[in-house]
Amino acid sequence: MLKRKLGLSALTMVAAASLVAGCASSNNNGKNAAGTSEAPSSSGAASPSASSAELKPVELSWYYPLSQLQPDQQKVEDAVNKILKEKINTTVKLKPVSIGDYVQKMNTVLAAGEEFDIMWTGYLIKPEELVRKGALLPLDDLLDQYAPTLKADMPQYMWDGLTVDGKIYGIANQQINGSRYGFIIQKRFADKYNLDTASIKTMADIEPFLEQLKQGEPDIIPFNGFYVPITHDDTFWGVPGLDDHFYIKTDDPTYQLYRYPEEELDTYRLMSKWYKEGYIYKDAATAKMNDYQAKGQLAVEFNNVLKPGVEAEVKAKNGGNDVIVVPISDWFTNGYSATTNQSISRTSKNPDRAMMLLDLVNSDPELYNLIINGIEGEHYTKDADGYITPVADTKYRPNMDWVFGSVFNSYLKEGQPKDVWEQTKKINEAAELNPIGGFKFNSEPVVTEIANLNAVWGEYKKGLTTGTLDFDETWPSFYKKLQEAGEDKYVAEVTKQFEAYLKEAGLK
Amino acid sequence: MTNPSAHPAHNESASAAQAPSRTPLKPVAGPEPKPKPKSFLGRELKHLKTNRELLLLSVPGILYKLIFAYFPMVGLIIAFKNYRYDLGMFGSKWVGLDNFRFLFTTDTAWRITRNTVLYNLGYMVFTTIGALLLAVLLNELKARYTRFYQTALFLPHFLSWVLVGYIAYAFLNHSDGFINRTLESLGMNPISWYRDSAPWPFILILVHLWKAIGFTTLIYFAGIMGISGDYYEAARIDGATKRQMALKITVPLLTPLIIIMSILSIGSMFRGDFGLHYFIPNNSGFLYSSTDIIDTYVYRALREVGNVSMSAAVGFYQSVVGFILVLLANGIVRKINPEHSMW
Amino acid sequence: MEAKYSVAKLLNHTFFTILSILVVLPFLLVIAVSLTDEQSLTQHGYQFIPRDFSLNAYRYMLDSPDILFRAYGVTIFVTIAGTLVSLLITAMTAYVISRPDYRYSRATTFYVFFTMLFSGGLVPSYILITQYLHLKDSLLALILPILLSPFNIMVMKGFLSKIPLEVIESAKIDGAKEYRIFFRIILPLATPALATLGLLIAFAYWNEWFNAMLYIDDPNKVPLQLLLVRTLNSIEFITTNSEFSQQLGIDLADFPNNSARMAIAVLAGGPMLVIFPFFQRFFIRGLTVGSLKG
Repeated sequence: MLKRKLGLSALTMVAAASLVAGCASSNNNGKNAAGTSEAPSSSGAASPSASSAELKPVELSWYYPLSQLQPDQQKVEDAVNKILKEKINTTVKLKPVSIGDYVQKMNTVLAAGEEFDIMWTGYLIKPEELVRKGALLPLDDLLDQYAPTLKADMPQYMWDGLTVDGKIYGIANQQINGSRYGFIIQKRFADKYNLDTASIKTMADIEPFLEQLKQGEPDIIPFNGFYVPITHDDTFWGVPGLDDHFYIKTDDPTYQLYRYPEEELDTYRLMSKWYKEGYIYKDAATAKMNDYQAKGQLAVEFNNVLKPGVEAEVKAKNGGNDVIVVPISDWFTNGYSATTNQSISRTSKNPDRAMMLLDLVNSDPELYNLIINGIEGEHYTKDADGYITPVADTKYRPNMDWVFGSVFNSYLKEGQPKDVWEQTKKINEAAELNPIGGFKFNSEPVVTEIANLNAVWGEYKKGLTTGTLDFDETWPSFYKKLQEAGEDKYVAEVTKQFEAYLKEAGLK
Repeated sequence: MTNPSAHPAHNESASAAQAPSRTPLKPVAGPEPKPKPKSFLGRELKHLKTNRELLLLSVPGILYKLIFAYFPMVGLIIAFKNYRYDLGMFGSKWVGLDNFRFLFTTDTAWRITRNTVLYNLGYMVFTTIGALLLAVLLNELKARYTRFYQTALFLPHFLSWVLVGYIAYAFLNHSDGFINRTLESLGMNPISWYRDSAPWPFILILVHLWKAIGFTTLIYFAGIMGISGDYYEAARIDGATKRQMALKITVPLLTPLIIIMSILSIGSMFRGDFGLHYFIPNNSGFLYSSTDIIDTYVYRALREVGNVSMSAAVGFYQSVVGFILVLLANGIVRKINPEHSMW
Repeated sequence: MEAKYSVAKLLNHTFFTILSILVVLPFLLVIAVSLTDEQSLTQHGYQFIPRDFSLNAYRYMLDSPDILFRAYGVTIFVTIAGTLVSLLITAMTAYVISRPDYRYSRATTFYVFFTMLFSGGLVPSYILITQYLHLKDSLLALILPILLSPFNIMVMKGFLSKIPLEVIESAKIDGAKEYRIFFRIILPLATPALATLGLLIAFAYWNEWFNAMLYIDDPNKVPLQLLLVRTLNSIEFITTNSEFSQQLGIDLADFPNNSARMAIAVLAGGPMLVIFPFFQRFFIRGLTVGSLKG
């Protein structure tokens, strides 16, 4: 009996020791992986031109989010692997994660140091934050060696957007990269009141129209407040990657930082005014506004992605009513804010092969379209003009092209103009570029302050953006709370890092 | 239906009685009347021997907790580190109490602490009293009715808070919520439920009771079921009324269970119900003064920062306070009646 | 004996009937909404009686019945296996610490209770399950992490501590071993307690999805709740992040909204209406001590 007891405790001690040792060893693995990655040329004899015969077989794993998991996932994966096996003697385990769980799952997987190769990074789980937690592998050498064409094809400012502390940590899934502010207006009202769209140059210009709506349409909500931060205007640029309340003036060679400039605050004042006038629904801050919009009860919406074809997209959202778009800014871009990319994990055993796979996904339309649309004939059909239609009750239709690679390689879908990608590329090229778009803030020194500032803003945001809280009444006490939360320390840290960035980028 | 399972046990003990025990009788109670063995170790081994059968019964549970609860507790150190994925749990840098700072820098700390504790106290008191009352009343009814009522009371347990949030919105929303429509049809003014923080303590307690009372009632009801019928029989012979039986038999015999349930709630006094306080008030900033608790505040603060160490710090803080409260509560219980204390 | 239909009894029934109706009311709303046409919900909001009856939400959820049925299968297996093992160990542990004469009773109680207050968090557990026990994509990863809840052990202890010590002592005098006392005397005496705990444990297993989200990638091993919660989370995510979904080209019109949300709740909770009465059969007055003494 006693022997058994001792045996047990010995067992548990061994287990405890191995838990500790195991953690340590997994750290070592991590370091090794990082070490080899910095000199990828030493990691294999494979050169970019090497045929698959010379490569030893490798299995990769790839995490990405999907809005809905697909029944025929395995079938498509097999088809993908057939292509990959042939071209780079590789198979990949596709690991789609439901988009609502993606962040939590990936944060756990990363924090646990699990071994995997590729993951989607983007606006939900930002590469620069992952880099600072030590989760990702720098890609510069891998790109040069295994994806030189891809590297050359993508505009430099996009690489800049993916560069943290001088190293590249992602490959962008190219898509539209320009923004435009303006209004989406229900056509029936614009027609009824003969709205002169040319007269609307700023946000305030829409006011007379809202007044007309209020007088003439008692059942209609004229406006819903502004939910998207305004980060560019003729006179200013927002500093990206921060909390959307830092600005610089256009054409200011000193790039002086402005925090909560009057121009920004005036927008809140305008909302307070509109709320009092009754242009904004009195419960806008607490009601589910989507419901009203879906009923077609919302006349004017403020939006920042007035991309080509948006009219058709938001029609359903507006209760099936036709809408017109009235932009109040030109196309602009904050540089590339790392919206949707692929990154390679620090724990990857085969970063070189992962890079080859990513290069292929972005350069081989057959492979890319297989992942985004499924198998031709089984999941979709393609007509003579190159347009595809999903078959009825298709078992594979992720409908998230932007998650996998450059959408410029995707087959045309019903309703898209034939030259949709040329148009989009033109917009991307023509868009005015934020001069300080490459700034990447390191939040680590002020993470406490940021957490508290977020909490304070969370309390007031909806009240202010809908004008429900009178701005001039609220601001003094609100600002006091922000200061308590660490506003000054945060601003000082941003300023310090921003100055350093300016020097480094040769802007000052 | 109940008897078949009883008979084997009955027969078992009876047959054991017929064949007098081979092993000598052992005292089981703590203080040992026997002469003391020499060393401390020797004494402990002696104890081990007398208690070994029970010890053996608890081994699976203890082992499980060791592996699945105590081993992972090394993770508590994350709260004191700047956790980096590449450096891991042991390689990351120690940062002292830095991760705790964000909870205490603003005067919101007071608001969320007060709200968390007061709500949990309220939930505990109202649920306990309500569930006890329902359990006692249910006990008066025939089994087939209690089954029906209990199922009804238990139903809300299956709805997630997200969903309850939608239902609450259907009742409370300003323009066409059921409540405001009713108020208007009665000629009263509609209420901006999501703007007015005053009624929220009542709403939250009500919603909590609605969702949780079935669960707690079930536990107390099962507790009553476990009370031996002998007591009631004796009381009936003595001519006791139903009320007397409830107060003199049921409640006293449920006391250990009530105390355990209360101490369990006290242990999580600092852990708020995130779903209830986030989805039911629709996360409306206007209501924070009366709905914001530690968990919702932390969610708001850390959602974008996504910091493993800071969330670990919050969890640790909540654990420590809960631990202290439990030690206090258990100490008080032990002072009053040592039999009822947890340890 | 008292009259069969006393006033008190009638009042009692009235009280419970009204209470049940009030409690169930929101549930009826859930069912009604799940059976209403989505368009109608947009136009008229939630109604207790569906304006435009529609089974679309269920049709949407039952789109791939094979996946759903397999998920039900996984859940049922995990629930039954998990509940049996968990109930046994919970009862064993609780029984031991409920014995005031057990020398390590207090220490063990503390040892168990401590794990309710302190936990190492998600990351170490994940490392344990995936890197040491290698349970990724194993159904054990759904059973083991929630096998033994301190809460349940404590509640069980509360139930068991009501059993008079004399019962145990007389059995010991008869020479019975502890494990025999436990299985042959204590367990039969504790039927209502076991049924209650069994119910709570079964619910926990039935509702469990978080561990499945972390540990199950194989679509054949996905339990029902994960399947449903995943859909629910996606709907929730996309409707609350509309600016992103628009920017990134997610088609909102593709998502079922309110009715599907409610249909999910019905599909997830509905089978409980079968499980509940099953356990309730055991909610019977505990055996009297006298019957054991014989």
